[in-house]
Amino acid sequence: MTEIERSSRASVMLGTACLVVASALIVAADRARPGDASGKSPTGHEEVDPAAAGATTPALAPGLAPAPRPRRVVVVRRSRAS
Amino acid sequence: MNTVRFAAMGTQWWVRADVELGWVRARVAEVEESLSRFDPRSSLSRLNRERIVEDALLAGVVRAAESARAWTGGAFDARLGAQLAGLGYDRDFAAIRRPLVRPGSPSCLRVQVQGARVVLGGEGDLDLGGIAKGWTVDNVMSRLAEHGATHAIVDAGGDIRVLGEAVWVGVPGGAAPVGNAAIATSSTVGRAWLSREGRRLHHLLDPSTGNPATSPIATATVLAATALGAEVIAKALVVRPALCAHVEDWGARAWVTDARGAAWCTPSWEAA
Repeated sequence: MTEIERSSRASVMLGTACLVVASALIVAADRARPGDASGKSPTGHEEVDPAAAGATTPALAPGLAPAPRPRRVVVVRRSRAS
Repeated sequence: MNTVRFAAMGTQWWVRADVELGWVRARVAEVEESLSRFDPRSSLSRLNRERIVEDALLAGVVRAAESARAWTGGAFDARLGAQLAGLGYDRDFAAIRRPLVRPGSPSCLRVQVQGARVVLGGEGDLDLGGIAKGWTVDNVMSRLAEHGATHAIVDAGGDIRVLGEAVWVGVPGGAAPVGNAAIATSSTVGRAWLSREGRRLHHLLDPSTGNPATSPIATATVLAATALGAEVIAKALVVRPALCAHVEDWGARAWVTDARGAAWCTPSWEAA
């Protein structure tokens, strides 16, 4: 192996090592962001726990909560405004 | 099981029960002849013209309407007949073509019921359209029970009362089991029309203004012990959404939708 080949190979290895270290640092920094505790994803989008969604949705009127998902049932009649 | 279907009170009736039903249509017609705002020969039309009428059936329904006005804190008000007619709803809904529009105003009509006698004082007319169907559904169901029915369904265009085992009833965006109870839906969407200026009007008036209610609630469905109660509460919720907080105090449950079709309900509806 010539001196040039040795030097080139060392440069590639050093570059690869730098990329690995940089990626690890970015991931560690994202995990450490205070936004995590408030439900922020690493990309900054709001993450909503579906189970808690009802509790945070503003009510249409006092005393109401978001309705449960309709069940599949056989409907005998329909109540509608007439 | 026997079933009858017929048109009355501006809607389709469907009654099913384990007793004979031959009398049902005649009974509903009898009630309509007394309570219709669109028939000039009805007891209600005579009352609005002559301001005093003796009619036990009419007196009973007016008493129920005045009681509902009291317990809803005025959110339900049958004294808005003149305002409704002024906004163009002065004949059977199917016949409305060219409504006249007058400014709305709260009612100052005075209503007295003594025995079978009903007396009106001050300006305005009675309109029992917000309570007549529910009252009639309950009346038919009472008579079915007197005839020995153990399972019956009375459906007046979506105002439904069930005697006996629960059946599933579709509501806007969902369904509910209804057994030994009643369900009714009110909406600002169905009976709506355009004024001559192109303004969208509907039949649920806000008693505080005499004009169509402006509400975040597009449809209100109420499950209650009686059809009258369900019908009154459903209308009151559209007119005054803050009353949603009191629905369960009245022994009822509510399911409402907003203009986008999103559904909301009172806590015990989820347990249904």
